[in-house]
Amino acid sequence: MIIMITRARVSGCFGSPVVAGAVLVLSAIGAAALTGALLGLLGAALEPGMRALLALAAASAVAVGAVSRPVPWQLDRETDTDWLGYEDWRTAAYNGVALGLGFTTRIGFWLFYLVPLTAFVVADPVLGAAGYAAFAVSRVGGSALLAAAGIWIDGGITRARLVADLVAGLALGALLTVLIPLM
Amino acid sequence: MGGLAAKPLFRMALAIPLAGVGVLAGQQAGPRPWALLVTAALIVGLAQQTLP
Repeated sequence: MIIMITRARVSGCFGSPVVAGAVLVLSAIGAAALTGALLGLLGAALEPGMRALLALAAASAVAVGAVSRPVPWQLDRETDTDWLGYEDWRTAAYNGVALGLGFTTRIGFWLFYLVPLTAFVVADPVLGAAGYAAFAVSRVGGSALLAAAGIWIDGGITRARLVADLVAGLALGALLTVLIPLM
Repeated sequence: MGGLAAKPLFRMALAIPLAGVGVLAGQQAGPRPWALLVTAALIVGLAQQTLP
């Protein structure tokens, strides 16, 4: 039995879509928290001035990219459809990890880049992990909840992109006030 | 609006004042990178529900 949970494509594992959803969300949180912790650790390993310089360079690149095109640099693909063939816990776990990492599939929005960037800037593995976990809960937990409620979102990416781009512009500006004093 | 929003000149004209507002907000509220992280994470996660 394969139960599609919105874009997450989750098989029912142990015959239960609830278990599949839990495996999906927990895998996503685990992968995201690990990524955030590593970025926070990387930030902490650098001197504040060097950290700020690297973050400023990355933020500038994102700003230039966001101004020049609405679709971000991304791997333009969905999660691997071959994973559907497992029809067990692996389908949910692999999808969860891929979606929790974020960058292994379409990201869709320039705002996504603020997540790894600020996880690096916080320079704290715990805060980095917590922030990335918030992304996984919002991204994958949101999908699971929508699926459980029988809600299918069809379209709306153009409007969502407008809002996300506005938030990204504000956030990049606010990030400058964090980075400049460190230099 | 969708076509206009894709034009680099329009996007730059929108981005510069927005970033300026972000700088002012950052100066007023005090720099809190973890708050930026959580805000960006929650909003982009929700926005990604619209991905095709």
